[in-house]
Amino acid sequence: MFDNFITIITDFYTLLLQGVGITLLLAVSGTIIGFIISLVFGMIRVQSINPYDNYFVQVLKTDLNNFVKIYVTIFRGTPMILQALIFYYGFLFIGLDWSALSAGIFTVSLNTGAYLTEVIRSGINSVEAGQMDAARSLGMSYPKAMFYVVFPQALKNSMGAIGNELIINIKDTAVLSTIGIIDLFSATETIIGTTYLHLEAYTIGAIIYLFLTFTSSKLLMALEKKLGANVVEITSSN
Amino acid sequence: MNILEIKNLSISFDNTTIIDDISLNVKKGEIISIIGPSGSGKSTLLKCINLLNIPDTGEIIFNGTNILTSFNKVNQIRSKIGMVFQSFNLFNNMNVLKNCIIGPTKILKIKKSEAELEALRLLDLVGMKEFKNAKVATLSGGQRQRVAIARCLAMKPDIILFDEPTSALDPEMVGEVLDVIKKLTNDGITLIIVTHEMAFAKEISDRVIFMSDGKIVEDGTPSEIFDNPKNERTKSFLQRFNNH
Ligand SMILES: Nc1ncnc2c1ncn2[C@@H]1O[C@H](COP(=O)(O)OP(=O)(O)OP(=O)(O)O)[C@@H](O)[C@H]1O
Ligand SMILES: [Mg+2]
Repeated sequence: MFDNFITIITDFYTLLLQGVGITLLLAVSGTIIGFIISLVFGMIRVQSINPYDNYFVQVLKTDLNNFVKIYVTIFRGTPMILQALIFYYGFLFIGLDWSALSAGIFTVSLNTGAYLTEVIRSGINSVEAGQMDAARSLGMSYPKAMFYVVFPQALKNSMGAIGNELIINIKDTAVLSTIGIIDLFSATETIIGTTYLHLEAYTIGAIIYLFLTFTSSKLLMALEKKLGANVVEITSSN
Repeated sequence: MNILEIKNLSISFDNTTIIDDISLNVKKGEIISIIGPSGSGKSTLLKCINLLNIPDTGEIIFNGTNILTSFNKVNQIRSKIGMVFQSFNLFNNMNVLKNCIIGPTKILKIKKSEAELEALRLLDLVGMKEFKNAKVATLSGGQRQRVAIARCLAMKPDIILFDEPTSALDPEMVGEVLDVIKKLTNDGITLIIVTHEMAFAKEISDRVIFMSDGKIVEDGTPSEIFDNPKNERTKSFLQRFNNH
């Protein structure tokens, strides 16, 4: 059995490394794009209507808020594997010829965006109202007060949850092999296709996933410590 | 000259009237203390002046401008009206010095070096210069409030609103903050101070206002209010205070 492990690694290490590359690409780019989405959408979610907003602004705020709420509900309420399949085939159906990898990154990004929108929203809401009041009372505009005072604190509160999302993405992108992406999970399946060493290949896959998540979480913890963020352990899963 | 004229101001929250048709003129350089029972609308009145609360009806004329019809200038108006909060509200993501220069540099567009120089002068005034690099979290309440006052002064406001600046402090720190406020009374700056420190109010104020149930019940000199209150509600409020 031990020999089988050695055989798999020596014969298929390029395939495995390629799989690791794709898995990291999906997880990292998905988390970064999702984070950017969440900045915009999280900011929309914390907008409330002021008595002196004009009619147009009031309607805009309400509509955008409802749009983001629906987006978050849909993406958090359906399995990522179905989101990926619907996007992949849906776009092919309307004539957009895109690769499985593009569809994968697209899906992970939107999925992560939905989760992180809630993280950013609660991060902003967790900053005491007095911080905003003090900033506004100095004469800062709302965007300035957000940018200089509230948002940096919100981000610090959210660091742990954002890092956690990256770890989840490393693991959960395994489902994207369904649309034909050759990620780490798919690589182990390919190995099994030629060697029939089910247990050994799956075990190697699991060990590599564990190595990736463990290393990333250590790196994130070091980063958070450096930035002085509150280290929080949040368990959630897509 | 009146720096501030409040005319028939009212505001309700959830159908409860909190400020009930208040009118008040404030002269430039005047030191006014507002006293009154909890829930009488003192904080709400200050927040209205700073547009953190938007009144339902009435006018607030600040330096000749009705600020309630000038929302496009709200930031400029607020930069001239300082506010010191009961809970200090120093910016937690900045050190002491940064707290005092963020307004001048980002709002007034003053050069950083100039803003720092002025901030250090003000921090010296409030006795916090040596803490310029300290993080907010490491400061005591009294220290935080003194920095908050310096942050406010750095904007060169025409008027400063204090909302119970010492109520959240341990008793031994009240004095250091009151001393700093007392220093400001000689600078010609207009101060409106909501406080429960009656001896302090009596000592430093030109005028004392007693509020109850959203109305100004009595308005007079410190000796008129504290030594010869005319209104029954003022009398019983002060009596309750003296018995504590
Ligand atoms: N944004 C708000 N929404 C609803 N009710 C409010 C709001 N702000 C104030 N109130 C209510 O208005 C009343 C007056 O509040 P305010 O804070 O002005 O009183 P205060 O005189 O400052 O009292 P205290 O001495 O306790 O600080 C309170 O009953 C309070 O609950
Ligand atoms: Mg109050």
